[in-house]
Amino acid sequence: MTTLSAYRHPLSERLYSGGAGADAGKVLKLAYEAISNLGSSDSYTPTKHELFAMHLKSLRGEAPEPFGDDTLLAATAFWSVFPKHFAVPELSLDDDGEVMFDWSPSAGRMVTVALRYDGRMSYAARLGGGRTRHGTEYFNDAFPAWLGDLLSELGS
Amino acid sequence: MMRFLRGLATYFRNWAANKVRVPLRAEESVTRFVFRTEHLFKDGRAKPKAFMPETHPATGEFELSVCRLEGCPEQRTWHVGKTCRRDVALKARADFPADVAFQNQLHGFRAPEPDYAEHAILLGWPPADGDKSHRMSIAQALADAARVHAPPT
Repeated sequence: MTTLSAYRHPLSERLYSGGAGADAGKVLKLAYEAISNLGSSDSYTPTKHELFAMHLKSLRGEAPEPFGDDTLLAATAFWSVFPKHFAVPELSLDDDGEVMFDWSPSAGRMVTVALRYDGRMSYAARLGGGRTRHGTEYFNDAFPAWLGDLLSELGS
Repeated sequence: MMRFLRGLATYFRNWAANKVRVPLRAEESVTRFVFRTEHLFKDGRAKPKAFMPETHPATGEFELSVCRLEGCPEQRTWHVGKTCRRDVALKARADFPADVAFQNQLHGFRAPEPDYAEHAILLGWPPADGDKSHRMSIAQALADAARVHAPPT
């Protein structure tokens, strides 16, 4: 979780409570809406819950794939810096225990990222018009610019 | 242990059967049975994960199991899909032309199993110590070419 999302509500509430006069109220309302969009939203929170649910399922032996604590940490760290203006990915687990994030707005266009416990990110993309890319990068606690470029190009 | 022994038995059976390996033809279509809803997008299309290969327990080589559709009536295809794995329920099947696999440097062979004569395998995947992203890219190509069908109720 980022500090921004951790303190979202208290900060927003403080902003919303201040101001005197109609113009001040409008400014504060705009500020509140801007911050609201940066924090976790209804469509993003379930993804975080899904990660924990997948981990729990694996711990209980209800899933064939292993999903270790280190992988959960890496995945939640990645999710906490994921920009909320991109589409929400769909999740699955690979046989080797890596978390797979899939974005595919339409047939022929998709980005898949497999995140390993140590932050290794294997990715593959089909961007339409026969353009494909694949490679390996490492997650280092900041949202990777290359992934932002791919998702922007995907139109996600 | 039992899983290993079963894998070993399958390996030797395949080894004996594949001394003269019959390759798949580019013109034929195959299907991949999908046993997990997580391997399908919410809109019903197949995710690349549905086409990620499994490691053979004896050879360590990656392979993807498929069912040949040529000469296999619809009813038989669904029957095979529902019975080839006893431990999980069939969620869907994803049909694709074998040629898509060949265009991605894979090769396919018939690999008949008991009660499953239509079984085939796709080999030639980048190795485990190689580039995983390359395997993912091939799986994406197969997923993109696949047409998903839900099992008849």
